[in-house]
Amino acid sequence: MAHVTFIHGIANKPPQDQLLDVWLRSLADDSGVDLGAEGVTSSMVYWADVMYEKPLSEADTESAANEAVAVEREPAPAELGVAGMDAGEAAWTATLAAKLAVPMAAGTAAAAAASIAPSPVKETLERIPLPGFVKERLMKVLLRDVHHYLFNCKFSPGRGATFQVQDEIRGRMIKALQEGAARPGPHVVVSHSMGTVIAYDCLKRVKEAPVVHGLMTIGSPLGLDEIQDKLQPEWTRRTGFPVERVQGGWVNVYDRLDPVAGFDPNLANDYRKDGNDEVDDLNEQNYGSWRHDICKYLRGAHLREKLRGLLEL
Amino acid sequence: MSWDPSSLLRRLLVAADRFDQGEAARLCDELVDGLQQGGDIEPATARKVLAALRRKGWFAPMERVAEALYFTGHDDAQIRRQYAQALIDQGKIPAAVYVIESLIDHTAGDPDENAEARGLLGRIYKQLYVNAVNAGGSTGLALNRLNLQRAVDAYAAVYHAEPGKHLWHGINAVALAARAARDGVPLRDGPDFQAVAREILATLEERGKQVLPDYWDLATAAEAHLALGDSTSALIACAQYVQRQDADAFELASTLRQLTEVWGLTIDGPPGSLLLPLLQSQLLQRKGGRVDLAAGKLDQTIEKTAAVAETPGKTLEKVLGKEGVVTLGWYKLGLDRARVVAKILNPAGDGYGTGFLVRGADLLPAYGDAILLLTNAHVVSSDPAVRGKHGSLEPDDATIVFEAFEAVGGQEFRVKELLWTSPPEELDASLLRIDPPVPSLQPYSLAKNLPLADGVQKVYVIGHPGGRTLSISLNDNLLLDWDDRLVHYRAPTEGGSSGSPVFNQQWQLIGLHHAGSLTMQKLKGQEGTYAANEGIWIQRIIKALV
Repeated sequence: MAHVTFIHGIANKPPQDQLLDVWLRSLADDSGVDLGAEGVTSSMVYWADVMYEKPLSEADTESAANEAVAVEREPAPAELGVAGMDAGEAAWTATLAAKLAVPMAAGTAAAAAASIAPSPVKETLERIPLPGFVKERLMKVLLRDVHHYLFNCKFSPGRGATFQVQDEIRGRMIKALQEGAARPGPHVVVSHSMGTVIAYDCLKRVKEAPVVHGLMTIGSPLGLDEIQDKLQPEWTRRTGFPVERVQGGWVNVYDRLDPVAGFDPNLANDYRKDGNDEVDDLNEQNYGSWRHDICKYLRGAHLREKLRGLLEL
Repeated sequence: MSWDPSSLLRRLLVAADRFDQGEAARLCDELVDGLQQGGDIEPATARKVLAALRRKGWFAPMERVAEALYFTGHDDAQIRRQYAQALIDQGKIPAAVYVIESLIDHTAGDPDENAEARGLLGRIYKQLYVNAVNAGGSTGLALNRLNLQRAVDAYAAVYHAEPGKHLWHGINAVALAARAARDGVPLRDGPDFQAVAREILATLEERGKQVLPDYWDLATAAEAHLALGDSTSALIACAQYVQRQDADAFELASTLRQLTEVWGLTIDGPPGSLLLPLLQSQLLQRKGGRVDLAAGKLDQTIEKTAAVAETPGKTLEKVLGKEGVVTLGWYKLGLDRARVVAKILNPAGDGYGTGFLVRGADLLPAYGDAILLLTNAHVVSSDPAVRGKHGSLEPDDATIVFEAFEAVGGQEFRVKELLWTSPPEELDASLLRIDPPVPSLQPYSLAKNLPLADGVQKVYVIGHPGGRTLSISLNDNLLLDWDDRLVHYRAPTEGGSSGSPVFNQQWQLIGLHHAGSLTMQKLKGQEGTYAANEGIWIQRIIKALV
């Protein structure tokens, strides 16, 4: 019996069970891949509570996968300052902020770096008909989550809890991977957005992670140079494919107009296996203004066909 | 066991949620015993027990518990009303009338309960009229006319006493007055049903400004629009109604009955061709939902369902959303699966079992494109020992008809050859070549894996339950458990469709239904029994054929 370990992406989410249900229903919709009906077990690696005080209410469940809606209903995270950062971290943050078109506090080195950021990426973003303030908030959330994870920041989401972000999320991911690996049949990791960074980080860089049969990344920011830089030394362009723990295929699904994946949607040339392109990059055309929506991706015919293949259904 | 009615109610609700009729019956025994030994129970708890039993259609235990409550002095007005409902739902009309008439006297000082009791009396006479006339009885018969008059009088009197309050009485008066007009039955002091319908809609509109309409308000609005001949508005109200997840299978089935039995809607044309597929598709998606179709109407239902489903971007999708339209497509696929379900008759022409067509190569490549019939060995067997023990038909004695497969409508098939059989104690299956050959068909897709036994997965059985010859039924069952040979599942009401196909939620074939019991032995060596239906895992049959 096959097993899928899901991991979600940026922005707040409803409680874990409800989120898993939303993903499963989207995947099964309209004669899709109904994992339960086909005897495939699944679990969701949940980390929204590491970044947020409380989950989205049940009433928001239907739009839970739509980060554009989620962030519209909450204050954006404060801009990342540079206080307490060393020069390298500050520069890294400033460069990524510039690429994501996130304004930094005025008068800082980061703000200066942002002001001279190259423009081609911004042109890509301008093609996304999202309200400007929503887009900006989203990019702030992405910047914060990527930063806090990759730099293993200490973070308090409220309710008296404090986490070392990377340690905490890695721990949850590894536990879920080990539980999935203990089951018979193919084990496939399906990750979205920031979840693709976490999944890759664990499968490439954490020795406790078990071997999995397949990896699917969806709407991934792994093409960003800044992220790749922080995944070194395990990551190199020539040997970035996590061959140590991904025995089967890696399918990377993107929409060119997805603002998170759109910086560099193709991963095959950045995550090679012995210098060869091995990642199966797949353009899944979504619709509407928010192309990063996991529910839309999970309804895609190409994605479903590839997932069936990875699960040997 | 100590007397704890609250705990008993909790356990009953769990059993009801899992359609566990055997456990529910045991709990009812416990409750009845406790009451008879002098146990006390809060009226609210007693009412919840009865309501839980009713919503699952378990009317006999409901009656038994209500009687025990009655005879032990726990009979407030609501419990007496529930007792009457249990009697009505089992067709025990004279006893129900007696209980209700005494209840009407008893509640003279309680206007709300009195209105409910009088409404129930209206329901009895309504049922008597539609049962008689829908079965071919004459609308000119004095008794039928009297029953219709009594029903309208009962509902209208309550409604007119306080028009803004008792809308369900009002809408029933409307539906019956409209029915009387269609049937040419004159009513004495009959209401102007269109005027009342407009009044009801105005009340609902006013109420809607203050509170979110409940699902009954939406169903009531749909009926009021029907009375005014406004099919589009009826469809919109109905679409809003089915979207309400608090309207469960019990509610949707009640509405469906009202629309077909009282309003006389059929699949033949609008508004029935719009409303019925919408309600049926949603009903089958609800936990424990069941759709019964006149077999001769299957093709038409498929065609009309497709027509409703294929109106994206138009009225329906705007109300239902994409998901609702997808549900219609899913339902149509299920109806397609019903086409090739056969009834197997004994020499006397009585229904003896069910079977279904499969493409030979899907079971064994050597069978090629031959279209074969799969059924139970306890239905048809060539083995004299099996026939002696289980009463199976000899192959030559079986007649096969496809009541829902209009391409071969009316044709009778015989068994040409029994290709393979496995006795009831093993796989309980017989594979038959039938004569004349059946035209080509869309083969079932076979599941490679069984669904998860996670308390969530549902399976669907298509068959001819209860030996009814002219209807075909699609049943929603909760998957309970499985091993490498057997699959266990459970519906709120027992079927009895030996030889029926069993499908997963994607309409892939997972099994051959062969048995059902309130005391089925649990699987995987687990101790104990439970109420369950049992099917044979299709991949196990394939493995045995190789």
